Amino acid sequence: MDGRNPKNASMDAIKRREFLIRCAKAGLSVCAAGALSYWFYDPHGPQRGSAKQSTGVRLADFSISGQKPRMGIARGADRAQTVRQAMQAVGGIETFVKPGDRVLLKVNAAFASPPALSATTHPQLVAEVTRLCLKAGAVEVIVTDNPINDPASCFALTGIARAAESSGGRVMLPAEPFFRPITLPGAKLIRNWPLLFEPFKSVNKLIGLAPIKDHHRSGASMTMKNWYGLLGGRRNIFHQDIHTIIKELALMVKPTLVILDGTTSMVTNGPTGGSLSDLKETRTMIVSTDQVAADAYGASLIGKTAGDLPYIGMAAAAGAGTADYALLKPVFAPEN
Amino acid sequence: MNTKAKNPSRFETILSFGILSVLVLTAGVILVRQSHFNPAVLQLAADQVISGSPAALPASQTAVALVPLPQNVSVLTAPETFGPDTLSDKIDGKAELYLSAGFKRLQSQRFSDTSTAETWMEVFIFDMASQKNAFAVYSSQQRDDAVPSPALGRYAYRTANALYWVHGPYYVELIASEASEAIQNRMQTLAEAFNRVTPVATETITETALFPEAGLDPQSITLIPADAFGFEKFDRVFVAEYHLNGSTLSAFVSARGSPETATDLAAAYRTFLLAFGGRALDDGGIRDAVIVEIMDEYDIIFARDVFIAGVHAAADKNQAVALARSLDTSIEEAIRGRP
Repeated sequence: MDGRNPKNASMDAIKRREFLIRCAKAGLSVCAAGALSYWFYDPHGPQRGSAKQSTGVRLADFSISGQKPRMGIARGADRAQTVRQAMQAVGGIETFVKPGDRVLLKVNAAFASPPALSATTHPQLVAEVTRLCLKAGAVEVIVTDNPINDPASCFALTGIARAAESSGGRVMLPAEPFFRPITLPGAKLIRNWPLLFEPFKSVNKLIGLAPIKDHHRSGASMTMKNWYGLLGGRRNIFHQDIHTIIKELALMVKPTLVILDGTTSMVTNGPTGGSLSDLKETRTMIVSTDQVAADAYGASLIGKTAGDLPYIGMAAAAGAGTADYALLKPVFAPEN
Repeated sequence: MNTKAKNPSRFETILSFGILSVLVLTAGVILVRQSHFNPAVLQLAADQVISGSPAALPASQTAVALVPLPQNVSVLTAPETFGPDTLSDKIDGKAELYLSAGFKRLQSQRFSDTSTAETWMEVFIFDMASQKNAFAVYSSQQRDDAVPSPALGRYAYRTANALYWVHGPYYVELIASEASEAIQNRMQTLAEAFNRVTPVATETITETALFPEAGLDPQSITLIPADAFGFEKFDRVFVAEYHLNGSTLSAFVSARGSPETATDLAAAYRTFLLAFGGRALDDGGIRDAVIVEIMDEYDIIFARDVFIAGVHAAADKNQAVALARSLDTSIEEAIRGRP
């Protein structure tokens, strides 16, 4: 041993030429890595509406073709009875649900709150509509929503899960693989946005079931706002442009029917409410093939007009329905 | 001297290829996952981390209670916590109301009433950073049938199925799934226990005492955190309703940082009203005040020391002037009595 470090000895063994070659290779590797990183780098980030984005899935048109828009209204406190009467007023469930149909009920299960607070679709209504569909010959009734709160808690504590299952329906809770990106052509907001699509795969009829609620941002939450529960992702960003997103939802979803429950309406402190004193007995059930007209009528039950809710006019102007519900010549069921 | 570099051993070669294979595989997985990016995944993941999963608690007794529980009340679900970014995951469209008032954090939890099969309740503890912020969200949501609940504090009331109160910087809601005397009693016990175990600094909301008492509806006092009367510069404004001679009037007062800013804001509000078609009238005999007639209603605005105050949207000018004078006197007395 000459006292030198063995590692230094091996370094000494490299010729100057080889050292330079190795340095050049190392330099090339660093340049290649840098070039690759630069190639991957996107200084603008993902752009909404970018041509590169997938248009994803499209929702079918679930409305009954060749029918004039209809609206049936029944008054009373018993939801099972009033929904039957309002349904009869528009021609009966058989007009819309045929033997062999598979029906999706889009409920509002947004919050894990009790039915008494009317912040969610009432379980009595879910149960009765499920029964009516099965009685008309539907082979399957699926009940779904993508709630704000934990889905299992929401469906359990609202009573919707029990109501649906005890009436022969099947609850489909949202899960990550159930979402697919959707783009509404010409839309400003619904572009490559995750949609709860799995429940739609097997159905050929769609019925929306919504309560009437005051809403801090939009003014009121009714049948059109109910489709908001089909969206996934950080959908709360849409609150900054709430009327546009509701209009786009109304254009995206073409239901067979909507049922607007104004039996007990939330008139203040919505959409969560909390106190029974936020509610008003408005004793009205609305069944309509026109969601815009249904919401326009529903607004009147909580002391508003269609003009107070910009999304109604916007949806009507975009062709989703009519804000002048009188044009539908609503049929009022006789009150018991 | 050996000048030839030593060739790597077979083991070193295999190891190198192994490491490279792992790196290539990792890069492949990242590319595949990135190409299937779905914002809903982020949503679900965030919920799981921040909110917990109440339904995943089959034996709910294992969860810790946010509040000391009275007899016949047990934990139903685990506590949930929400910050400014996730508040709308819990209360949806109402989140803006809290965010504009200075919201910091929400903790919530459900409890069951073990004496009945179906009854349950949920507590919402909003940390609003200050008592004024808590009062803002409390006052703007007061129910018509509110019954004062003084045992819980000065700002507290109950309705048939719920309790609402301010405790220091906290605004607390306790909501039952149904209305009954039994559940009300349990909620009251639970609420008092929360106050007992949650020490807070004593704060006084001085502005509420500035409203003269004659004709005042004390339950009507509301703190508007931002954009009061449609004027974007008008924040932290207390508004109170008066019933005088068969008419209902609204008075307002807001403390600013200095007398100069109060005066400037009063002038800016006057300009705002005039820009929207208002017409400036006399001062109504109130020093440095201005009366603006706009859309057949009358607004009176004046600044006193650090306060901007007045009457908003009164149908009758004389009644508005009378209330503004009374408010002016009350504020002057408060300023004189200040240490």
